[in-house]
Amino acid sequence: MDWEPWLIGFLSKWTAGIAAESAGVNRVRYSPNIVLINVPCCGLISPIHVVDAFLQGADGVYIGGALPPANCHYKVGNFKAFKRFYLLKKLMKQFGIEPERIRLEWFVSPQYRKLAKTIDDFVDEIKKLGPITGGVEE
Amino acid sequence: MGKVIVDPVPWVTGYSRLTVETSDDNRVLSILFEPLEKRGLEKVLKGRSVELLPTITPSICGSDSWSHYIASIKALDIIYGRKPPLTAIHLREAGLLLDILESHLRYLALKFAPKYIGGDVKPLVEVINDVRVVKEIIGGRTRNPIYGIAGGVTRKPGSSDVEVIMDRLSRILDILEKTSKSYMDKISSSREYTAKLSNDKYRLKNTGFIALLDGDGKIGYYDGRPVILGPDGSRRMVDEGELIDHLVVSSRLGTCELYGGRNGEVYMVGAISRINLGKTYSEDAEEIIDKLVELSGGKPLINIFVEPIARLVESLDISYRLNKLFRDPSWLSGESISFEGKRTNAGLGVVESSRGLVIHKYGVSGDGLVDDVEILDPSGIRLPVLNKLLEKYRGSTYSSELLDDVLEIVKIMDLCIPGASKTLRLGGVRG
Amino acid sequence: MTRYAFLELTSCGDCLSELYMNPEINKLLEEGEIVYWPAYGIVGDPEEIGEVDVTFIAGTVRTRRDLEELEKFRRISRIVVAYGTCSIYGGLNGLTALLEPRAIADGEYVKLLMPTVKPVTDYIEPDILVPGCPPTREVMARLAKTLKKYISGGKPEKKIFLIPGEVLCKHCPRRPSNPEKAEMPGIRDPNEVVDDGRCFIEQGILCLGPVTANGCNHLCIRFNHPCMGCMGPARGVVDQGLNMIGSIGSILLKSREVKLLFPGLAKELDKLRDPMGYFYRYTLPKAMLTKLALRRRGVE
Ligand code: SF4
Repeated sequence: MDWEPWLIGFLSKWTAGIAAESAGVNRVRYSPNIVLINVPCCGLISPIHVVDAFLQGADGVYIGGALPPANCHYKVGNFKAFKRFYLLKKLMKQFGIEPERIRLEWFVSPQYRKLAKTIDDFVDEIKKLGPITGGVEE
Repeated sequence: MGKVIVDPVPWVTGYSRLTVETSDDNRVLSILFEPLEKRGLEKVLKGRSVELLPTITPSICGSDSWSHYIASIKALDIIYGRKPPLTAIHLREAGLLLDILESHLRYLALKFAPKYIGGDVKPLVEVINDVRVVKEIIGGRTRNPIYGIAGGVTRKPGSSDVEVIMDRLSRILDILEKTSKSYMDKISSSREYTAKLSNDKYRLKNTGFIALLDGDGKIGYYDGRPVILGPDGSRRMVDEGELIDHLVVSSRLGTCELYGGRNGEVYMVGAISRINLGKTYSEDAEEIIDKLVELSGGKPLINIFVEPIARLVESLDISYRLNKLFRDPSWLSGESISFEGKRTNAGLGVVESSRGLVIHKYGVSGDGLVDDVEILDPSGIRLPVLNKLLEKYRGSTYSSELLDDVLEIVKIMDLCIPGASKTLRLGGVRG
Repeated sequence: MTRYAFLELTSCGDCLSELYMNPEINKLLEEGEIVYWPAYGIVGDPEEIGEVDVTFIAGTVRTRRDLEELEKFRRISRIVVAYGTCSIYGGLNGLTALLEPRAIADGEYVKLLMPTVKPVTDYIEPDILVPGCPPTREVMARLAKTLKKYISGGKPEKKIFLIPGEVLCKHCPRRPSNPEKAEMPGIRDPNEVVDDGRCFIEQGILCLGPVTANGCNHLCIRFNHPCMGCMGPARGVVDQGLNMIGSIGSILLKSREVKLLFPGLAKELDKLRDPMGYFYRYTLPKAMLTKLALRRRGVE
């Protein structure tokens, strides 16, 4: 099977974003299947962005924010994100779409090893789930 | 072999097809009535949060939407373990009665009168609009009401509302008294109609009747208990749960068996059943019934052409009853919701609708999601009755008059295919 | 004489009968002629009906015949009115959008069905759109007024949406005095709350007001019933459910999140057991996730 997943990652630039930078500086590799986007705060990522990413063909969406309670630059962005994506996952399940396609990870700034590891894990998991369009068995 | 296809079948709500198969010597081999509108709404009720059902199930059949709503709310009462206070009961009952009234009047004004009465139907259309105004005041929307809550209703009409209600209700009764008199005069002097009323062809054979009756033997639209009048004349009260088993015998293809009794008998529901089984509320209504008995040759009334007139009788009777209810609205001062009670995991709601019995039965899992649904819609219950009636044409020589006759019977049954297609998984009524 | 057609597609089957009963509409109809309405005995082959001035269409497209009829009537009609929420967003009937034909019918009847259920607006361009389940009397009157303008000819230059698109909360009688401060204290079953007259969301009841267009004058709200979203998304709302999730994320338990942390919040969110039912009661075919789910089935 020559299908390779592609994923999108939204990283809060104050924590997960810094982790990604540090990963580069420290030459820690992670899967090339993910495209990372820095955002000012994970509390600004809307469920619409995420579902839109799926509609554009993303097989998984990774969201990295600040570990609660005290690390969010905007104080509560991580809680907002948590509530939204926890709910979105429940909703996706009702539509028959695997909630595991969304992965939330929480960081204290430069945890670049954690970032790389969780991304690689996630890519592996998505490989098992198959493409977002379904039909991987055929 | 030949085939005559009527597609779509006129005078039926929703899409259906009628096929008459004829032999080489032009005799009717079979008549197939197929509801072709497939929706699957009942399938998406499973997995829903149970509190959402009352707002979804009215869509099963738009013209009996309040009946589905009230049945659904009654099922919620049981699931939440609550007993609604009298104020709520009366308001629910009033809404239900108004919806039945509107459905009857629409049928009479738009389907029945133009052909058999003639003349101006404007007064009836006006009454319908009055009914709709009162419905809005009581339940929020004319269709798909929103005033129900487990154990009560969310809003009581205020005193200015009550004035409007009373005003409209008395006008409704007024016009209906006149209309029913003039309709009965027309009908009893119409050769065509009286001939139909006494014609054996239109008699319901091997057919029983089911209706909800209250403790005094009166028609209990909102909270009566089901009583069956068997084809053999036996009369018995049945348990609602048993009724579902009794009616849903099989969902096999070829729906002869669906809803059929164990001995091949079928059961009619709706106005004709109710006036056969229960006492009415007004003497005027009783008078019309006596007249009907005279015209159609005895009780129980078993000629299908009685049905439209039974709906007229009920319209009058319901208006009478609604007027009585609001003449002394002191009951409105009570509480409208009772929150007391312990949750259970199953609920059942049974009410009447214009076309007859509506039954909702829900099972709920521990987390409040619906895991079992059984809904009976009267159009579904009526299909086998239609089937029995059409059976009689088998072997007759086919003619355009015969087809007209068949279509007329279909029209009288006033089927709602969106409702019938819910219970009818497939296929049609084979004649 | 103005020629009217009534086209009822898969639905609860009552919208157009109600419309007919409305006095203002009825008057228009009386001055014209109804040339097609099978439910009331007026049948005919659309090919032979000739030109129609106004076709009222209610319901959803579920059967192949629905689609055929819809396209035929669009072709022969000067003005098409999409009437009722089903025809615009799918309505309650749209809740069946994820059911495959095989789940609904058997045998030869499966072939009659489209792979999913969609509103009329997914296939044709109506000239006038009238949301509501059912549309209110006021909106019906507005429809009558609009139609009068075009009775003798012509058609609207661009689509007319008969309700204002502003969000329901804007003029809600229960609107919190300081919406910025509003907080949702949890997620509750409306049947379990003793209503204190405040904004439903402030009482923990899911009200779709923040994402729904006002075309009802707060009818449900005035009946002490939370908004169910029947008028469809308000202007600027992309997807009723996803936008609603956005709002809930902002205001649910916001003063207690530091204490509750993720596990505490999750526990509260788990009380919303059927988000699909709450968010998409009237618009499931239009949900972005429906599109995704159908695409996986090879439908879109
Ligand atoms: S959420 Fe509902 S109750 Fe609250 S302001 Fe909006 S529409 Fe009104």
